[in-house]
Amino acid sequence: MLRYVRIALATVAFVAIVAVFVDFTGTAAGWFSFLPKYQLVPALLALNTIAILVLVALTLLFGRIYCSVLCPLGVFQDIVNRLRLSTTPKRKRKPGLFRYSTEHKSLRYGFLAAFIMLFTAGLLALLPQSVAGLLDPYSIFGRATGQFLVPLWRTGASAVASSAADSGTYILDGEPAVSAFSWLIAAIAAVQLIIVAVFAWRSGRGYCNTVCPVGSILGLLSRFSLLKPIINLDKCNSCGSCGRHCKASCINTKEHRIDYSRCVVCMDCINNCSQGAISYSIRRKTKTTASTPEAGRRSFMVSAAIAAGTGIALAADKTTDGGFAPIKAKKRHGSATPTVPAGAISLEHLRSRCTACQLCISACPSGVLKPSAALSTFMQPTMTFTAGYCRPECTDCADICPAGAILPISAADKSVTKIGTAKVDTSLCISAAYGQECHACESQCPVHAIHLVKGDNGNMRPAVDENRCIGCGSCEYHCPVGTSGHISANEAAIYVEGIDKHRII
Amino acid sequence: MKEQNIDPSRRRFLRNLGIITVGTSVGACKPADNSGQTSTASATGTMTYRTNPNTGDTVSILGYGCMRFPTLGMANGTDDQTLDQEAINKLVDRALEAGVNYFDTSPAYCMGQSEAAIGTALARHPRDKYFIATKLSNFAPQTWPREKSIEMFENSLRYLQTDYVDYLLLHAIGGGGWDVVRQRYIDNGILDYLKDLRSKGTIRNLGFSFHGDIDVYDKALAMHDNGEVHWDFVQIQLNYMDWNCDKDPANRNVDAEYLYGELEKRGIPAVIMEPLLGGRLANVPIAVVDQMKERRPDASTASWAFRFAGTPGGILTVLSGMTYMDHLDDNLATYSPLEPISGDEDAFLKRAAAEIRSNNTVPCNYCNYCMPCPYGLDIPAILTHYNRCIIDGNTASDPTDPDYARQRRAFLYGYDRSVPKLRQADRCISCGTCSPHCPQGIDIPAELHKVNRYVQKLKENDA
Repeated sequence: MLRYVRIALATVAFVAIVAVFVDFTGTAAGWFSFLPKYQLVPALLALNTIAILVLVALTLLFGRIYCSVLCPLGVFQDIVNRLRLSTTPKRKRKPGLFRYSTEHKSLRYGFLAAFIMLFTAGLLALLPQSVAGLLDPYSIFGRATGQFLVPLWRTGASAVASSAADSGTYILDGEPAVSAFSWLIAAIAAVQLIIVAVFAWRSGRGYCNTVCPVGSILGLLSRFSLLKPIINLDKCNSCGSCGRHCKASCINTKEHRIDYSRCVVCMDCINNCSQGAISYSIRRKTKTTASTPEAGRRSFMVSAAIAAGTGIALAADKTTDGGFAPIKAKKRHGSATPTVPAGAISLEHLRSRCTACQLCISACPSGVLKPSAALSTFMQPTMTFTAGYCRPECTDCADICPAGAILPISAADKSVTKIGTAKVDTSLCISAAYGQECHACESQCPVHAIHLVKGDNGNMRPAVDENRCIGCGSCEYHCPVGTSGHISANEAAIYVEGIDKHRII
Repeated sequence: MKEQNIDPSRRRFLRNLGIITVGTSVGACKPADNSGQTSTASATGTMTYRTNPNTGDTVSILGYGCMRFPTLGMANGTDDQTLDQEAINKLVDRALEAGVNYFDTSPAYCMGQSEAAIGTALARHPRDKYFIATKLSNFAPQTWPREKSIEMFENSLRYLQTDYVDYLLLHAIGGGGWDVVRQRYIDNGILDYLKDLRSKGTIRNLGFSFHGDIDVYDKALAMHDNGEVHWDFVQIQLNYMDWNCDKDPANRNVDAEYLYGELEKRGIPAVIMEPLLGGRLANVPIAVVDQMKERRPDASTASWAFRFAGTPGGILTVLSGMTYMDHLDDNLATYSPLEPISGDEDAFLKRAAAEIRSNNTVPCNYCNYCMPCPYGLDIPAILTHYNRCIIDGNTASDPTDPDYARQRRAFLYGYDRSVPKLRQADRCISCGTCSPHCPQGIDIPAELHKVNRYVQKLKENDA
């Protein structure tokens, strides 16, 4: 019974958290955006006291239920296990696939120590927090979801919406933004996911009990939990079935001991005990059970190029009617300072808080946020204005960030928060350099910070009022240079240069 | 080229509302009665024919416009703009078989592929079974020099696989004023060259097509009056929207009643273009559709426009750019034979015109003259989508409107579907390349900015 409750809760939580990632319409985020905020590492980074207290209380009451229900990577491992079971002949499956192992204490606490060091180094801005994020289970899951599931879902949703629209029903208010697939992040996510999956296939929750720092932290608390699986020695016939069904490999059947620091309260042992000898109950101070740690297994383990092309062939006089001029995908213009979303406060704040879970990137409706490839901001979000710009009325990334790396901000504040300044590369500008009449940046600037003025050569050139410009990137996105096929340059002639500290203007 | 479907549920709904109209006839604006009309048997019935008083040509009232030919992309769902020769052959065969004998093309049409395509299709039939009309489309200044313009005409003959052209037009005079006409045709001696070809029989009829500045029209006809040139025919835009009874000075340039009247006065046969305003008159507000269907349940919306355009007797032929076989069949049914618009129907169409005019669509006929936009925008698709949403009533702007969310989705998602993001209105840089090419005189950048402002407002205001 308890096992089914656990499975039901885990299914709901898992589906909900996946939905928050993949649902680009923001509906799931409206309902379930609290779930990522209850992930331990983001909650610690955000100093989310309520979430931390709730998680500590849950663990002290029920044991590591977090690992079985709330942690999506934990549930993912259970799914892998399930797959293994369903592909195993009943004859082998029936007696159970696991066996007790002792705790790999040095590895386990070694990883925890390493994590704490990286985490601290991140907070002190010695390293990007995303390095510690390589060990955070939620961020590992987020990267895999963002890189693999999100693109898949968008393609599918796009096809469904398109066929619905054929019959006159509009279920979306626009095509989903292009997902932020990156070979680098995808490779890292794939490697990490495969490691976790192999662990899960071979040894159940071996990863959680050897590598995962969250598992180790919660393990320190779960030893003292109020409710826990308890073996009733009066009923136990020492068949060893519980131990062979324990995916955490934490039941020492010979000594009738359960290592509660590794137990993820999956209730499988209770279910598989033919004698009804295991109960999930309040531990009595008796000698029937004891709790000592022991267990385990092992572990695991990046630049922007700026191409400048000048030379513009302006459109020839048209002689025929119809057809399209060629367009191409724009490249990000190089900038000395990256641009990060309003709410991030400063480059340093984002760098020290973001574990690179990719949730904001999945949530960005404009396709602006992309994972950084630079070592100093490894996998953390950075803004590119090639597929869209940061719309002043949108606060989706700030609303969703569980780690407080992008803090909540109102749309009103955001629309006056300066995150960068537009810079003009007059050598690329078709107006400034070639005298072609163009008002793209000027007419699309939401804060009217750009005006065309007469340049030295008599041509009109865009001039940016740096005190009005908020760095939204509308100009860079709308600049025809880089997009128009007849212009050889691949980047926009106007681009956003980030600033290290955001401010309201 | 866009589909002209109307949501059937809306249609039913509005029909159930039971729109009642009271008709009072206004005789002053009725087009002239039919005269000089003959008929010949054809496969679908009896096509109506008109006689050209200059050459005695017996011309079908339905002329085939070669500006909207099907592309390969339409057949295979890609954006391949190459013309679908096989489909064109079928359309042409069917048209000839049903008695259509006037084919109107230009070197500029369909990205320059139209002449070769119709030439290929027609070369499979005897040359004396049809009339070819083409144009000297020397719009681009680099084609203004005499030898360049002559080269363009000689290319036309080559593409059309013929050694004479039945009808040759100075293409779209009026845009840019009389100065441009002088530079394109008069100062470079091209008009004299064409007159010379006419006397040699290489050109059987010489005329012009007109779009734009009405003074240019008057000047061109003055040349006819004072004997500088004899226009054998003139091509004008005529439809029930432009048969302007309001005499609004703003509409003077497209007042079809004036344009046609001036020709009738001089006995010059008129060739009609834009009888359907590029499909806009097949895609009218649902209330107008209902009134049309009440009168003629089985006649298409488009048939009203074609009957109107063919009714005046001085009209030689009415051009329709037929992309699909069903368009062709529908037009053949309308004109085999033509049933002229009655006085009562004329009054009805006048009211319909007022109703259509009141819905503030952009008067774009999707002719693609503005394309290609050098910056990659799909101007006709943007304006089509905008007009479509206006006609369907999907342009709510008040987020408190209970239907706002649905209309917002219909507009925004439909926009992304019909126009790729990088070809949408927000990418207009206001370079103004397009506007001079628009036969309807639309200030295209201004309209694109208008559409974009509406889109941005919708994006900002999620219901």
